Amino acid sequence: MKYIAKSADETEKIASIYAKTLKKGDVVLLDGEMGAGKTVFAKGIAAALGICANVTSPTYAYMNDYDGVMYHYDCYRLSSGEDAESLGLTDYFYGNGICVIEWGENIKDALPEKCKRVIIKKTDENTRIIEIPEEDK
Amino acid sequence: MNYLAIDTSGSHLTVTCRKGEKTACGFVPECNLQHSVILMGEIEKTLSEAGMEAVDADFFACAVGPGSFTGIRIGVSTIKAFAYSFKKPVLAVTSFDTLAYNRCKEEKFIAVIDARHDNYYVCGYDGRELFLKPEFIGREELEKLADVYTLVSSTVLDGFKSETADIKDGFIKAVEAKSDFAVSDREQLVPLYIRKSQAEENT
Repeated sequence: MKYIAKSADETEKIASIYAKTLKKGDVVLLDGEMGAGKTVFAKGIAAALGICANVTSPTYAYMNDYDGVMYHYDCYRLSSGEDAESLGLTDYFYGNGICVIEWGENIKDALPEKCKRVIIKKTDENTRIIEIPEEDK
Repeated sequence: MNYLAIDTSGSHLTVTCRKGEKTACGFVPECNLQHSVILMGEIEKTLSEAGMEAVDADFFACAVGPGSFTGIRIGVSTIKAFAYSFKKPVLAVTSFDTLAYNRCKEEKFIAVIDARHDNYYVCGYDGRELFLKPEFIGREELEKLADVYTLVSSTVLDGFKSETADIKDGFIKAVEAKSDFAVSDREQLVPLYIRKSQAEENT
């Protein structure tokens, strides 16, 4: 499935619709370059899950825990799955919340086998193509 | 011996204590990574069921893993806090002991903990003696062990036949059986680390 978002607001809206397909325990990898809108997408998911807190990038904390409902990761500064394990970040992949992960490729070997993916591509300043690949059955 | 013991190493929570002949146990099968939130309440409840206060314990024990990274640290720091404030000994119980001590069959077996991604923590028991030290192994090695020995685990091991252990009773039995091994050097209570061999790390 492909969507075109013409603004950050639209990205958030698409994320909110997408969030309805998520189940407890799902792990979602957000792919996209710096500034593509990964955190905006995470915000939209949070809103749809009924999280009232302001969702900001967990750049320094690595992971923000929204009451066990959503765990929002930024793995930009991690360099291996072992890093994630030794910070205790991998326990949550197998919990009852939804994990939303930015820069997941940095901890590839620690991720669960079945992850969902969302690919965000920047086409110009405001426009984004949001691709949600079919899942392997 | 009187004691207070907790297991926060998995998705479950066990709190158990003994005062004289009276024992009590609290067990929450699934705590959704909320051990830090519910632990103190469970401890209070379990102690009062046994008519006991923390100060009555002759030693304090906890599960040191392998298991949930954060859970184990919650357990170790809580038990250390009790032990330091009451100046009492500590006892470490491994997750392998929890799997092993509820078993009464006279045969060698392997306690297995799923480390995910086709990796496993294993430890071999002959009765209550170890014949294989804790190790981190891959799927093929576990297959070899499974050909020879019975596997015991708390979870279903994908693709393997295994016995399911009762982790609540197993933990209580391990604490009771190992009580003589409580040590007064409280710094000895640390999470159990099992590393891959150097060769594996380098591949």
